Amino acid sequence: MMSITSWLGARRSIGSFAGGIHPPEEKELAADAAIEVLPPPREVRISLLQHLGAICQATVKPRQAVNVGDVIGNSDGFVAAPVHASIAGVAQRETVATLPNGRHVPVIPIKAADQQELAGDALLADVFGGPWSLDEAQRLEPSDIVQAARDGGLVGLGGAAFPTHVKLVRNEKFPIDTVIMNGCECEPYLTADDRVMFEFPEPVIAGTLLSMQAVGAQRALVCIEENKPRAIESLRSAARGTAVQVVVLKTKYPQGGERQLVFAATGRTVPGGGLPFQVGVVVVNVATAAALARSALRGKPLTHRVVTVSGAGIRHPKNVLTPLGTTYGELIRYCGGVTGNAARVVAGGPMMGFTLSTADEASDLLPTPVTKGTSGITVLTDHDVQRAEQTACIRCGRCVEVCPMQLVPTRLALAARAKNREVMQRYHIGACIECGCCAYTCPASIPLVQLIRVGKVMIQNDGKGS
Amino acid sequence: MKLLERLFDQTRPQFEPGGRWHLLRPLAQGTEAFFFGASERTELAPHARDPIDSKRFMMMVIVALFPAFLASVYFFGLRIIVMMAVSYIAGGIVEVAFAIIRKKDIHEGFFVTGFLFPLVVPPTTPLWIVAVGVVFGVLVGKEVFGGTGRNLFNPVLVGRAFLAVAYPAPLASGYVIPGDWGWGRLTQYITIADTDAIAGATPLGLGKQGEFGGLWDCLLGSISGSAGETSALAILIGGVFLCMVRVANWRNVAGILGAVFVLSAILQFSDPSRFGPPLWHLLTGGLMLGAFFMATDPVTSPTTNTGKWVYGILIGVLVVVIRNFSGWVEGVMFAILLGNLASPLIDEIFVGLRVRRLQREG
Repeated sequence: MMSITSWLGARRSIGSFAGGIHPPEEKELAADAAIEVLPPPREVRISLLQHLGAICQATVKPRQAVNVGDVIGNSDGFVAAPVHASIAGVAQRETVATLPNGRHVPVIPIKAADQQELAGDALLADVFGGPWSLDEAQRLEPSDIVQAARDGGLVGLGGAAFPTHVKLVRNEKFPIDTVIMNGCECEPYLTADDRVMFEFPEPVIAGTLLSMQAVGAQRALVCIEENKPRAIESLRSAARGTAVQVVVLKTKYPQGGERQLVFAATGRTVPGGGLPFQVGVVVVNVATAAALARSALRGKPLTHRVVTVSGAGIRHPKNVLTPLGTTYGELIRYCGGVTGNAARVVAGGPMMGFTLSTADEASDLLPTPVTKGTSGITVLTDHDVQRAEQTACIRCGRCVEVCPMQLVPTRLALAARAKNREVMQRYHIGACIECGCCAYTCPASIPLVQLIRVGKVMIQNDGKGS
Repeated sequence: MKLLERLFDQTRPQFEPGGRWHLLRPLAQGTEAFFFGASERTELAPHARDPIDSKRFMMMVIVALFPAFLASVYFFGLRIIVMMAVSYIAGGIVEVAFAIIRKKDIHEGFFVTGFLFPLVVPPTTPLWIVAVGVVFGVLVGKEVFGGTGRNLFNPVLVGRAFLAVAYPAPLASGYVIPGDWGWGRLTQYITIADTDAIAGATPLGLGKQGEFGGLWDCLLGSISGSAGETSALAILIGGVFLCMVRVANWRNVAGILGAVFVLSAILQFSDPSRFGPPLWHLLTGGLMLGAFFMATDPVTSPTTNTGKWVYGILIGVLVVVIRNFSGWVEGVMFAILLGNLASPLIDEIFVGLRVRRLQREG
């Protein structure tokens, strides 16, 4: 009897959630590539919308000289974050760029000055290098930390780009007792967070302590999937002597989804369509934590981020510290360009990423700008882009088995296809997190998650109309 | 292969709309897909896909059925191969005809139906009856409902049930005494005329009279019965493989076999002279073949995992009830068909519970 309970205990110690899938990880392509610093590009294109929320208004005029860290766009909205110049140079006339999700946004191009103050290793040291004062992090006033997050333009760097200061504001009705640091990075190919955690654990821990201080949490759990042993080791030693615990979770997609992560780490269930604060938790991405440390302790805003450029279709997969606004083409060129059999450039990872282009010789001219939410660029080959012919649903139930939100994807997709709003709502289409597990696993190759997305938009638009 | 590829490339325009043979497009596409896979691609996220698709799904089933097929040829002779050919041709004609009428592509599901059907009838079933059965199964079991994915009942069992009702005599008396060890009947072609080789009754029939034969013969398959159902071992090898590659859901199988084992154990405990031992029940008749290859048909079983358990247990209970308390000797066929009938209801209940839980959580 004893052995059974201890066995169960051992199983529970590796956190997980119901459903999910195990796609090929493909992390080995870039996992060993130490973070490199991109040589200063000749021009960057700073998007005025790099977050979820209200769009920024330009605060610089054409031909105005700007320095690294100058505010060039801001908004009065609460759910918004300012954007800053990522290189020194001269601002150009506002123009328009297309983001990977298809949205057209205003951008401010900056022509780089010949001399940049920081470049190469000096820049890397300025962004991540020590020393980081953990004591100071625990002494700052909560309101100052929130202000630093707002002024630094911090948003979730995991991809959703939700403004960080909004999460860190204390709320009388929902006291926060736990800060969760999201270091899962469950998308295949991506290794940017892994490299940051492994190479620079101190700013991650400092940012974690700052988050705890801001929301008044008693504990912090840094959650990492078990496929990143070096990052786990590195963070464990950096966290020694602090209130920060490192928690190892099962390697499973979408372990980094907020609701899945909160459940796996704490056993609490976030209401469907709700947010973690409702159960006393705030979730922050590890790279965001490092940026928070830089903003609160050094007064430097978010101007750079680490982007993974990977995939079998790129010649030299790398993790690159990139000024925001750098074009995808520039990054692809820096990584040696695309290979002959490259078939598709994807913004982000292959599970949730947007198709940017069918890859060809011109891929290194792609004008799409890197934004705060750009975690990676994946170049897939002919071989990766699998042939799939849509066939009839055979009701096998795999999508139901893997859905991490416990929905019934096949019914939702059928209802969306038939534009049956009543059924879509009865089956809680709004709770779908669009992780794509259902479409990944469907043997009939039905684009389930796409159909569900269309259905969600349909219902949102109904709400707006009435 | 190069030659074939060129052939497809050259003839494709003839089958496109406006081409001379455009009515036969499904046939041409089906053949091409069989050799080279589909030529269309995913455009949107997720860009990575599980390598399993419907085609491979069905091919796995046929691979898994191969041991049982080989065992049937070994024990009952070469005629099984001819029956298989008849089944494919007759059923294939119906499938292609409907694909052409619907202007849709041929669906792989038929490859399984055509393969499975000759394995569930006695080894000496007249060839024309095999043809009638498979045509009825595909037509009434599947196409009238709208084709693959929409059928309520397992097409193989619909055809088999039709034959049991329409031609009871050849189906009840067509069983063959299995070949001796060694070369078995690998070189023989047994028909109903070979009276020496015809068996009187199957082990299940004898069981009705209280005679329960040896378990080893049942396990290996050297007993009389429908062509592909006798060798429990061969079915187990393929069936376990099928569960391991997650084409068959093990919950269906476990539900059925578990329920049959537990219930017949209870019955035997109550009256050992009348009710057979639980292991004997597991290994005889069509139970193994039905549990691994027919009750796992995704189309006709429930969608949720809980539903699959309930469905399996329901079928298991029905098998025991029909075998022991009805005029029929074997109950697997009717039990699975009744299970098929119940599966939409089971789905409604358990999908409903899932939705209710979502509501509770907000």
